Amino acid sequence: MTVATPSRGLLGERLVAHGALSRRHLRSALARQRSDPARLGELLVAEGWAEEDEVWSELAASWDLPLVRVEPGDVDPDCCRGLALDQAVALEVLPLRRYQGALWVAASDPRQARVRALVSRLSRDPVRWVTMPPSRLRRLQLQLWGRELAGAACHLTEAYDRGASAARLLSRWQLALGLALAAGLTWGLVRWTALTLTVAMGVVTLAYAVAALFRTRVVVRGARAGAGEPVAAEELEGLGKLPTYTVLCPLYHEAAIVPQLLQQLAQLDYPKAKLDVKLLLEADDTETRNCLGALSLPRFCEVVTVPDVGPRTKPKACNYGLLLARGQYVVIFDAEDRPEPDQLKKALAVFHRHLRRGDDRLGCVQAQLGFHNWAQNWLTGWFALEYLSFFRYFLPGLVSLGLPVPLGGTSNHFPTALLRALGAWDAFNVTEDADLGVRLHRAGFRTVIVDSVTWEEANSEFVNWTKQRSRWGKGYFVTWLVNMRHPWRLWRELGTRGWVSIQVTLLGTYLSALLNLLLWGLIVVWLVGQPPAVGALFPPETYYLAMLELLLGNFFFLYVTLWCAVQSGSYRLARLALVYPVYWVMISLAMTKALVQLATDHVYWEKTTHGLAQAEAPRGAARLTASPGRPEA
Amino acid sequence: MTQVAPPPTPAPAPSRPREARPEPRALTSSPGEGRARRLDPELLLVFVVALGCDLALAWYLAFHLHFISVDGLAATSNAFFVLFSRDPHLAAIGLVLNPLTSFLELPLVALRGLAPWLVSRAFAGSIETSCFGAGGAVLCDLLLRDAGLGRRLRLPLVGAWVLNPMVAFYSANGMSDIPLMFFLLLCSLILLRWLRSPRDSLLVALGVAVALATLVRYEAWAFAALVPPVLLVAERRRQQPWRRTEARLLLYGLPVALAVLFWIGANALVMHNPLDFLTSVYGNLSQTHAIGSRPEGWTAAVRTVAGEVLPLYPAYLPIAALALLMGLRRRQFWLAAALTLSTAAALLVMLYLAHRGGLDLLLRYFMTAIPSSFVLAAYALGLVRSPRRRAALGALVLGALAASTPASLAAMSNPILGGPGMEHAVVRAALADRPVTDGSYAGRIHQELGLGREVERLDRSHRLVLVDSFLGFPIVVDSPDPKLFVITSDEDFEAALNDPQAYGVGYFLVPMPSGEGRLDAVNRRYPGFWRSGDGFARRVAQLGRGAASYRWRLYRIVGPAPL
Repeated sequence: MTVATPSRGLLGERLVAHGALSRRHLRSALARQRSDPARLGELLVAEGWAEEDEVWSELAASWDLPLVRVEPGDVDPDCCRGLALDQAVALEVLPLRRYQGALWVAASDPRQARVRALVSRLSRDPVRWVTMPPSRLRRLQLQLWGRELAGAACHLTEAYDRGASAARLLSRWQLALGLALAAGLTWGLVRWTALTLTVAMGVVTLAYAVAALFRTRVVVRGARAGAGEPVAAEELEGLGKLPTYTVLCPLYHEAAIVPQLLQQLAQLDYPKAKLDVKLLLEADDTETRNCLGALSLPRFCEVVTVPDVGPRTKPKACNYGLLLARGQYVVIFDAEDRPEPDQLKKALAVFHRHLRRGDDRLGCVQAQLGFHNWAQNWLTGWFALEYLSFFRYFLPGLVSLGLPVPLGGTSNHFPTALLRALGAWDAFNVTEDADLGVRLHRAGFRTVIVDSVTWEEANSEFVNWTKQRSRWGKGYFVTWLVNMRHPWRLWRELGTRGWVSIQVTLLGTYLSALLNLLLWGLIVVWLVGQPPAVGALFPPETYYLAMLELLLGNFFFLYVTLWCAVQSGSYRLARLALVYPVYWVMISLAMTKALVQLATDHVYWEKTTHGLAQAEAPRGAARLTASPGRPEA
Repeated sequence: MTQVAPPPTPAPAPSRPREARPEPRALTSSPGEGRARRLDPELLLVFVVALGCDLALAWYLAFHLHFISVDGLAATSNAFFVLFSRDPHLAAIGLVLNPLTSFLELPLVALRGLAPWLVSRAFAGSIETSCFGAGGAVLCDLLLRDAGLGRRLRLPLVGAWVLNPMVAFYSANGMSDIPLMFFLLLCSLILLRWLRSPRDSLLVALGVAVALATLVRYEAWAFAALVPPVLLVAERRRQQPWRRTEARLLLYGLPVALAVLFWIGANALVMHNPLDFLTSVYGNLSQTHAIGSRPEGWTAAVRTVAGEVLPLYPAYLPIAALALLMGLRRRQFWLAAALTLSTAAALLVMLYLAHRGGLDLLLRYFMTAIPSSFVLAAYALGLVRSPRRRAALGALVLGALAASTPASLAAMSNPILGGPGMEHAVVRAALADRPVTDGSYAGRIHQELGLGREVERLDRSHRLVLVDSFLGFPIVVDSPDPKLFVITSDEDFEAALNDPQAYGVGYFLVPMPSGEGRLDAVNRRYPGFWRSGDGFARRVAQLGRGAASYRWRLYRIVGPAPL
């Protein structure tokens, strides 16, 4: 419960009287306050209509509390012993030192009951309250506690469940089983070469059949279910009091694209006083920091430097941001993202809608992802086609079938408390998004897709694309390993369908791409020379199934791709769909690279370069959307 | 020192999440989903009645007249070879005739142990084509319903399909003609629906249907090629941007391309010649060259085709003219023309063959005039806006189609028109109520069916008998031990033919080298074999007694074959 600013009109009037606020801005602020009851002081600062220091000096006067300036050296670390740092950060509280038998505590708003409760648990000593402007206080907190918080950020998932993190790649039995399998296979190959190969091929063929049937089922279901949960305009207007929303933007060497990001953030249709944007920088990224320093940041944006502790991955940065989050809901946007302005409200509307229905098990609202530069070259075109089928058919199909959804890396909205409770992102997993999606599902929470699009930049350059793709491949495999630490428990939690779904979406996606190269090679060899050795690999039991998979399976997925292009009105991509198999080959190559990395460094996050998109295509017309009914013509 | 507050425990998850979470409902429904998926009683009735009629006729033909169609048995035997030959494999389905008819027979042929007549009387094929015939009746009903025709006119028109003697006869005899008609009706139904409301899902259905059709008969390839012009004209009329048209054409064309490429690829892989089905000595072209007509000029070719179509189905031309006229009146002449052309695809193929030479004047080759008449009638009727006028025109169409029914029967019983096929012989036998077991083409099979038993009796040592199943399939199919025969689809056939002793082949069974018999593999490999055994085989017996039956000779291999 927040304490209202005393004599609301008075604060504004006094600021106007001191020349710190114009009357016009005051009128605007009061008008806005009627529709959205944010606290006036925060509203004025967030909109940039008044300086924070001046607002807080007036507030301190009205609260009759001293406004203090504190240096890090002034704080006695012993006072903080036993304090829940993340809560202190969220509530903007900082115990300073003991003096004259009292504990001196700074807070941006000491009148809040939760603030007082937090401090009362810390010490029985009488408390002397002082106040500080929030941004100064937060800066000080991070200077003091940054490294500890970063250390905690690395292990949020492990704190939730030790086995749920990829910090350790293989559990003991997984390693043993893997070695045993490898040894068995090698022995079989040496001893009964032909038999072993034939049996292996039979197993692969059968696995492909299961995967193809599963994917077909999901895609067909997705096509029926529709692309995303729609939200009507009236529903957005009826949202009422809006909660604080934290937006996490992990950045690493993104100087080129930062101005665009800030522009996108400024365009978000959400009260600025309720926005808590965290630009998460890595400690060594001076380039982006300098760039941000040169820009005048809006008040709702906060630059947070992630201390150099633990692995340098996006999930760690996000976790760090999450520990500092003030919002009731949280969302991630990548540097190059261009979310549709009303996305936050739409996500919120979906959460509210489900709560109204008595459904409190909605864990995540995922927006659709589309590419704005799909027309740049063949690669971006193919990439766009892939996203179309993924977000338009595959994910909605999974949602509709009640199966675990591997989340997309950006534009996923969570209730902050829930995300924290479930261990947030695994700092050691390079597809932390997919991992989190599965973890949410295992804990009994669902994901839905909302009918709102975030425009991303499709990778337009092969090497850069390979880096990204091999990271995904590696991550999917690692996520599968993590979830298969306890296969039995996984089955109990997900049921048979869910269990199969995990095998197909995580392991299958990776392995099939890896094996495709081998199988296509076999086909080429067979077509060219028809050597009997290849023929012998396929006895009739597997031959017909393999043939069916080759012809119908491949055709089906090619055709679905074409269908996506036509359905989404992206007629220009229809031609590209014809040569889509080339893209499959590229994916296979990337997966081969992932295999090497898996063996060498499974936590290494290979950075994808952004900002390679060519000059902007006209908005709207040339954009490619994963949502239905937006014909190009 | 506590760094981070212990996370609040999440609300306990249900032990089986699936139970706690109700299946999310579909959020948006696709246009088709709202429609009831119940079985339409009218369609069901049409199907059951038509199926009953066709099966009754099939039974009458097979068990009362003892009639077995050569091509029907050939299709069944291809399915038989896949399952029961010495070397069972799918490619044994044969790569000369399109495979779908045989392929669909596989489950029925597999029941041979329970009911041998499914194979020996080709009844598996009869059941299959009866289903296609009945399906065709359902499609006619749907076409006319789409055109807005009331039930009183619709059902008699459907009757004109079911009771047409050509349709009924081919629905009962297991040949690929009725499946072709079925697919032409199906594709046209989808096409007409798409012309009415251009939903992309219909193009997917159209593509798949046409793809299946190409696997039934080669005439469908011409149809497949003539559908894009219809789509193009329609898209031009709607002034669609080119990119969109292109995407739609791809949506239609991709499944078709897959089917055609699959067929060509299979030929390339198995026969080492991508166009084997076209150029093979067993192929239709080569067969029709052996028995077919000479090249003629275009005018004469048109006269030839019209000479078959008009007596077979006199309503065809007036109805095509009606469709064009209605198209002209509704300012869509080019669309009507493209549609008429596409439905005439099979006839155009015949026209070309007549011009080029090599057209076999079998009535069934011109039978597509019947489904085309239904499609064009439905198209024309659909363009009439006033219900009263539509009903009047519908009555006129009914009159024309009904009048064509006896005409079809007359054509079938005409010795010149129905003679080259089996229609004449069967109609005559039916009128006289005696079995079709004489020496005519239609009765030929009967005399060969028994030969398998005879060969087995002669082959006391149970050594392998090599026979080209192109002509010899009735012998193998009805033999008590089909695994005794080395047949054309066996992988070692070629090698065994060249060096029989090395492959344990004890006998060659050869047909007399005249007519199609010249195409027999043994006769081609050893031109003098029939007469003398070419010096490495000794004649054991001459088989086959009927006038039209091929005479067969069984030779025992006694020495190494000449290189």
